[in-house]
Amino acid sequence: MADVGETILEVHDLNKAFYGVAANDRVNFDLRSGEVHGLLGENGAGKSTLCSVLAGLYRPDSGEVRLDGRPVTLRSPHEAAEHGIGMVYQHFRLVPSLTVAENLVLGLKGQGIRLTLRAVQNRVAAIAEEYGLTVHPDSYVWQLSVGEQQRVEILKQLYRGARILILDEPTAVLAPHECERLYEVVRHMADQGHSVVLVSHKMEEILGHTDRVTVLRHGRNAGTVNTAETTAAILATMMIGTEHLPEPGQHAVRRLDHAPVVLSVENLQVGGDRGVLAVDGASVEVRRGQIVGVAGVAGNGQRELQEAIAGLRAIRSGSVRLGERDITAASPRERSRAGLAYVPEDRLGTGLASGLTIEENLVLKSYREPPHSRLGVLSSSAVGTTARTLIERFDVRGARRGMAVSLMSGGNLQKAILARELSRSHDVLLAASPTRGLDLAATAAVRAHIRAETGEGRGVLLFSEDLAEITELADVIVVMSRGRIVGSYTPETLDVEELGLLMTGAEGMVQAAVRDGGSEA
Amino acid sequence: MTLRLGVEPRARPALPVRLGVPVASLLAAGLAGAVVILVAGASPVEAYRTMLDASLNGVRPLTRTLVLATPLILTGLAAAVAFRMKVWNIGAEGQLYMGAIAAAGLALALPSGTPKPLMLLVILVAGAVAGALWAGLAALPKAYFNTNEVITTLMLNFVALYFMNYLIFGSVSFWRDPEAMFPQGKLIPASAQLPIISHRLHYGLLVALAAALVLWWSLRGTTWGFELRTIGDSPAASRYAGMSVSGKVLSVLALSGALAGVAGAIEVSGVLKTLDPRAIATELGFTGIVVAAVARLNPLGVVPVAVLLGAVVASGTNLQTVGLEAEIVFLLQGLIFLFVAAGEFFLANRLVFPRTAAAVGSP
Amino acid sequence: MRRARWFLVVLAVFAFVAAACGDDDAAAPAEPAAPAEPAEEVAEPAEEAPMEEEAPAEEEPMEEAAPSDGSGYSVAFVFDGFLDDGGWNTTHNRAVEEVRAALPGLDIQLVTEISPGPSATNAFEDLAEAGVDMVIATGFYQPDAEPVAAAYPDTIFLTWAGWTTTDNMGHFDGATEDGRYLDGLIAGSITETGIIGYPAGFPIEEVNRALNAFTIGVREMNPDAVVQVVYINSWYDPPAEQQAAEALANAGADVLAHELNSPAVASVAESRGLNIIGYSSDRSAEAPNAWLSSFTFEWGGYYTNQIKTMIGGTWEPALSYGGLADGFIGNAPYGPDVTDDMLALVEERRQQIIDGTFDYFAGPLVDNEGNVQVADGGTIPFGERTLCCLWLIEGIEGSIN
Repeated sequence: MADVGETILEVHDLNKAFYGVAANDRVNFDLRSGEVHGLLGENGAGKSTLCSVLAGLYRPDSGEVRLDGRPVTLRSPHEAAEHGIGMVYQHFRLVPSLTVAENLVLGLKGQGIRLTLRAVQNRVAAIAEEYGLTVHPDSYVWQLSVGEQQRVEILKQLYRGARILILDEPTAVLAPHECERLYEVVRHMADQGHSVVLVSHKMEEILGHTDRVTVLRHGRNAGTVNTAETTAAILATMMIGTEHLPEPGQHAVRRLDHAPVVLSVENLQVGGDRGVLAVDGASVEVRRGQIVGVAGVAGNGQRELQEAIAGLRAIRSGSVRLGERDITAASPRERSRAGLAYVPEDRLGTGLASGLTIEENLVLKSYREPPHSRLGVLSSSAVGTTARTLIERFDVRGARRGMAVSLMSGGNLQKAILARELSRSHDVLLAASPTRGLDLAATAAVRAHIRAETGEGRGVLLFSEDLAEITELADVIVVMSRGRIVGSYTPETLDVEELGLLMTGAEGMVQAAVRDGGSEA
Repeated sequence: MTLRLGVEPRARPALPVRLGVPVASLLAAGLAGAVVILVAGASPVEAYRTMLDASLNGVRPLTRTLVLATPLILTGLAAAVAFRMKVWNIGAEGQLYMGAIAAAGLALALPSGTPKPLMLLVILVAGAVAGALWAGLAALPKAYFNTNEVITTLMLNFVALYFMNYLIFGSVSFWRDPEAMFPQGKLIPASAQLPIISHRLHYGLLVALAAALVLWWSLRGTTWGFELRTIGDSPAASRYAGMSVSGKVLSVLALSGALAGVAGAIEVSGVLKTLDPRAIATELGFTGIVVAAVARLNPLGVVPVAVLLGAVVASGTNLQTVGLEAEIVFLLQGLIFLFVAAGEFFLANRLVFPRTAAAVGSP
Repeated sequence: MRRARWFLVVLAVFAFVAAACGDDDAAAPAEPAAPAEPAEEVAEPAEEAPMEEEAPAEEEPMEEAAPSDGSGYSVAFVFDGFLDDGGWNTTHNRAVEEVRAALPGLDIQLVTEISPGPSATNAFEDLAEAGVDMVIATGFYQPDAEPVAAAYPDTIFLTWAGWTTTDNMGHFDGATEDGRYLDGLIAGSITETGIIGYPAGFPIEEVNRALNAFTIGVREMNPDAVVQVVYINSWYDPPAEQQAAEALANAGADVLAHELNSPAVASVAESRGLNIIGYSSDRSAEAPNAWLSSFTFEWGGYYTNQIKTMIGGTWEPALSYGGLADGFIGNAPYGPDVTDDMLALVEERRQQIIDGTFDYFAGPLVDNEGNVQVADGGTIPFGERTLCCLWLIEGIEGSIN
């Protein structure tokens, strides 16, 4: 590890809220010259907000940023750049039709009318050489691989004189061999005296390639430690915390080992949006009257798994059974008719058609069935009757006749989806992040509906990034990581530290990966 | 932070606003146009009076306006129904040509003694089928390989144009009058000519109006229309609801093509009485896109917009005779449309200022 | 495209005149003698007083001697494109200026960009409704003008290349072959390789007739020269025009002539150091070094005469087909490579044609398949020219099939 020098950047009691929700709550952070500083936390823990403040993208509600001991205000990315802070985003900001060199000078002030590209190229080549960022300055960006484009982004910041580099989940988009190259570059930059903030939720990455780690949880500091003096287990506990988890056994744990299986997913392989396997051999079972919660960091194949079960994504291998029926090849409509209710993560856009009215959305799955339509002709009175009944039964508020649903609040949108899905005959409810972004009352209402499902003898497969929600509701908790189900617990056997390690992909560090789990019968 | 102006849809405004905005837009267009007319050295009062006289004042101007509006209603509907599902059929132009070719072909092929109602039915259906099939050439790859229909439909326009020109100018085809050494189409028999309502106004107008009504009702009152609107609104939600998007792409593009094809058939049967490529290739299909856009893809809205455009076009020659050059006349016509379109846009959307736009970034 | 339209139209005339053979179409065959008439008529404008023939005098009887400056009368010119398109419409616009000079009191309206078809009918109707005395339609508008002329008997319609006259509708066209023969003399004098390239549109009578006249001119100066024709089956298609021109140049042509509308052929000639004979107007600016000459259309005298007879109440419907003698055909300025010797001959021939003492179509004319098309001592009479030619004369390499 490199020698770690002076503190160059300090953040004191930073507050930043969006719509009254605190994204950063009295966050403190400091960065030393020549260090690689990991920033660890779950999705929504406040990492991106902190980085965006440092990069000049957001302005803090309160708090102070000091550079070299002097307070600074960073009103724009440009000002941040002038102070030597550069950020590399997950989504690159390069112009594909321009060359590397042209991209580097793009938007730079004081370039004059005529760019002396030759000079730029020479300097780029020098910097690239120095840091091992081999990219040819004459190449067009569209010709470059993802890893090369990322190097261009880093080059761009170095070219502009950045001494503090913030890399926002840089390896999320990279193939494994490209990750290794990136780590070399990062280490090299630190050796040259630059400071690097490495945002990540991958435990191995943090442990292997940083000098210090700051862990954020729910927008607050969970602690800052020297990497060499910590372990994955400690970090996982810091990241997930325990204080907000309900005591196990708060609800009566039901042993349902012998109830019939209503949903069975076996060894499923599903492709992701970029062609690689997003779900790689996942298996899970849900029994009658049981809620199975799937915990995990977003982006580990949960969405693809949900979509594969719902029929919205092609299954490469494996099977999905609904009760006795194999629905692996069934269409979404057939699955719905066979008894699968689905509350998708994306409410407005998938769960609901945003431009359609509340009435139309409430019959989105039953518009072809009498009495809503006969011989292809819709009955607006029957649709209206159904809608009124559901709105009342599920307490959907703020809905006016003929109003587009996009103007409704999140809680009522979710209630509308639940109303539609749960009012149809079904045996299994597939629910993804059902309470994300909802206020307390709406959250409670949604959870009550989910809980009530079990009383009716139905099974629920619940995906959530909110561990508290899963521990509160689920009879069985499984962990999803890298496209697989890597652990299974009952609320009684839940080991938070281990769960955190599994979630962050550090299953190698877990002694006994799988303990007694209800669904492993 | 970069200053960004966003646009977002607004809730349905009250009726007075919805009626008032188009009127205000027309007035604004009139004022802007007056400046142009003054600069061009003519009298705005005289120009506008001429415009009204030539398009609306009396049976002859009125019928002329409606004759011009008829194909625009149909091509406007063709664009509206496809765009409603976010299928960008830019090919109404070519589909219209094919409809005209098919209609003229059957009108010439069938015995001229065929009863008129049967003959007219056959040629309108022929136009619809030809337009639908031509659109289908773009629809199939779109539905099954997700090719970009903007490019395919656009290219097919040229193919259709060259084909039509070939039939009349490039060869002695069945459509061409072999007696006339000058390339022109054969005259279709009287039984294939749409009857006249008044002056040159033919019953094709009623076909267009009926199409607008049926389409309007279908979008609202049928499962087909419901699916179409859902897919157009959010493809993910429609897939989630179990709708077949590819099947819908086929049926919607076919319908869109059929409407354009009927427009072509009606032009041949009601106006031209022959396959005259130069008179058919007057961008009726492309103008339909503008009509649909201004009508905000509402089939009933297409009708008044097409009539407005018909009126604007109808007065073109007379404006030239009050001292405005053709280019100025086109500019005025464009101006009127631009203002109406802008009015409709702001009726449907509102500007969002950076403060609210910035909040999109999530914590 | 626009500029090309009128070309198509030429065909119509001949189609209908050709239809005269099978005579079910009434009016056309009745008129074969008509072209001769206007030929005399139009020769008039050069002289001071318009000649008065028997006045049908349906309109207001006129005071004989007072030359009108056009006051109180209105004439509208209808164009299918821009006035300054550099080609067809420009030739007519130039004529409008001549009319304006001759009749300063005349109310002249210009209506541009009117496509043939329903929109033209609408335009004619508007003009007639507005009380215009005469509508001169410079494109192929007869079908569109016909119903309007019938409905508005007080308005006179003149269309280019129409074929049937009515009481208030007449037509006009120019004899390009006159100009083409003179162009051929120059091309024949210039060529050294003895090969002249001639990209053309369609193998129809109008085009072939001009091509035949051109070839007669070429061979008069250089009996061994050949004219290679390539029909591109379009009137306006720059890539095809260029391709044809390149191919002909590659085949050894050192002079290019054409009957097309884009500047493509001229630019090939210019860039390859060849010579170019233009078409219908002075386009020497497009190929300043390569430019030799071109015939031009001159409509001004005819228009002025027609308007004057209308004002005088002596207007009569006619099919007016005019050449050099009638002032319908003129010539563009000559390029630097045209010598005084060549000019002297061209001017001599021009005068002979105008005087009627020389006939380039004098027999025998043998086509390029060896058939005698016009016997020794015969000719193609001026009044029957529009029926010709569906054959290519000896010396042309190419086929109309």
